[in-house]
Amino acid sequence: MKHWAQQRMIYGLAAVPALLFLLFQIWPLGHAIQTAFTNETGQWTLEPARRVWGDPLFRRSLGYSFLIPVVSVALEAGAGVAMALWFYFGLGRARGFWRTIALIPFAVPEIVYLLTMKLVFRQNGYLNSLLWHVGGSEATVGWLEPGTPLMVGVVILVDAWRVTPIVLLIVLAALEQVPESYLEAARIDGASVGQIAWRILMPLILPALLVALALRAVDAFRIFATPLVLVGIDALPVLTSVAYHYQEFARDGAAANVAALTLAFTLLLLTGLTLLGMKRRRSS
Amino acid sequence: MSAAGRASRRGMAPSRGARRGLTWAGLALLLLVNCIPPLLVVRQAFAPLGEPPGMPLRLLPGRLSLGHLAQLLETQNLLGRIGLSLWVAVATTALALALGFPAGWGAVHLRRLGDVMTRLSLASRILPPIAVAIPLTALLIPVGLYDHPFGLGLVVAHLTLGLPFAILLAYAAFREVPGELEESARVDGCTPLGAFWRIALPSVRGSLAGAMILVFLLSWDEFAYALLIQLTNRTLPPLIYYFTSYGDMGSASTLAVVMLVPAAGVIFVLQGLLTRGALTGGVKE
Repeated sequence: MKHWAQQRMIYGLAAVPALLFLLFQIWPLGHAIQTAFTNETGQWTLEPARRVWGDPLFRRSLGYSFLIPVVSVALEAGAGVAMALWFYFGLGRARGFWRTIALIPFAVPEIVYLLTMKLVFRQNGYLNSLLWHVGGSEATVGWLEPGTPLMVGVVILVDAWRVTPIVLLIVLAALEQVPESYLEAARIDGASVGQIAWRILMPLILPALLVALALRAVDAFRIFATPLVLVGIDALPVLTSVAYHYQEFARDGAAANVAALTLAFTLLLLTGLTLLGMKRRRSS
Repeated sequence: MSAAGRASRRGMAPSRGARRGLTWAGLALLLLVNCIPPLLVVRQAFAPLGEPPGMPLRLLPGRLSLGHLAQLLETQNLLGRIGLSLWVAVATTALALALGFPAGWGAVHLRRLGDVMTRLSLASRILPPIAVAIPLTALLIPVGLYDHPFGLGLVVAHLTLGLPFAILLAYAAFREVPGELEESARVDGCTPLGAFWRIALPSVRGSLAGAMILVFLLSWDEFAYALLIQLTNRTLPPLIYYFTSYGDMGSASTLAVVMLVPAAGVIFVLQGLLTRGALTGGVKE
């Protein structure tokens, strides 16, 4: 099968994707480094980097960019596993239908999902209208009021709810592959549902769950649209939206590229460390 | 009777009725939380133009109207926006599949290449679109692809998302095709490309269809690249964002309803793919 001619053909097939990868992912990053760290005369400079790293807006965004993945992934893991166990034990044949319902937030386009959440949570929104109907005008709450911890919580919750279905689907699929005989044996030994879930099912679904959560942490770290659409850049800055702010509103290309590079390399570093850690754990 | 059913019947503590009540309460909550907000978008889209924004809002508008739609058609060149979004998504899908499936097939046949290619595809998934889009716009401007009326720059950007995705899906699918099938075609005088076209590709058409839908939606839904690259010739997602940030929820909702039309079908397709393992396996006879 591995004739010389065929090998050459296969390399040919891979050449165009490789070229596109170089041209539109690696070259832009190289260009970003050049824009961020050289001045008009082509000399290396740290001036834009210092300007960005000292900017209070950027500093705040760093804090949020690390806070959001931690809280969001914890929420997704908790809610996803709980829902999967509930679906597994509590729902029989109707499981497929309810799984579809649970998938809705992920299935609608992100921007549409965010629009629905804005309609629900804004000051003149539907949730406050509901509270008004129940408890009068004093009952309304500033869900997205800038500068409040509640607003941060709502944004994170909105982000987490959209991807919880993915965790649910992956965990549920893992659960459904657990052989019936394992459960049977545990039941004969008198294990309760709680014990079966914790002692038998949890260890079996853990590998699938960890992979899902690692991917989700990456996504949460580069979160962009959710805080931008719900509350705007200044109320809840993240690394991506601050880079966008420098580019489109401050018209500061060097600063935008510094922020973009900080984001890209932090992500690559974190991913590399995670992979290394996983490898070491597996080998030990 | 399923395993789950038996498990819950033999379960302990709360009475059966109480547990059933709890289950129904949970399901009702799930239904409300997930189904009401999208319906609110539909409600907002078909509300009359001058609806007073005062609190408290009513769940149903006084009367239905196509005012927002008519206004968008008149002032925003709505059909042009929809056409651009569609064209970008179709072009991205066609290119991603035409390049990605042959490459994925090659990766299966050449182990060394396959390892590199799948790793690079995963790595490019980690790079945040915003971080790439900012320097990319600077590179697109001199070649005239920035804010292109036919979105050519955006097609390229979406290709960097769709192509790795297509390669990974193709790689997973072609790995499931038995090697003997192609081997025997070669013995019967088929060229390598002929074996790809006549044997391998038809046996993964399930995955091909799945990849087509997923890449299409990847582009159709994409927000960050579109926001940065199409500054005036906007596609639908950034346009929704602009209307939302100006507080024009009626127009934003009307566009959202348009965006939902292709997305509505995918919920079933996506679920089928994820649960039947076609994303990692592909169809097997």
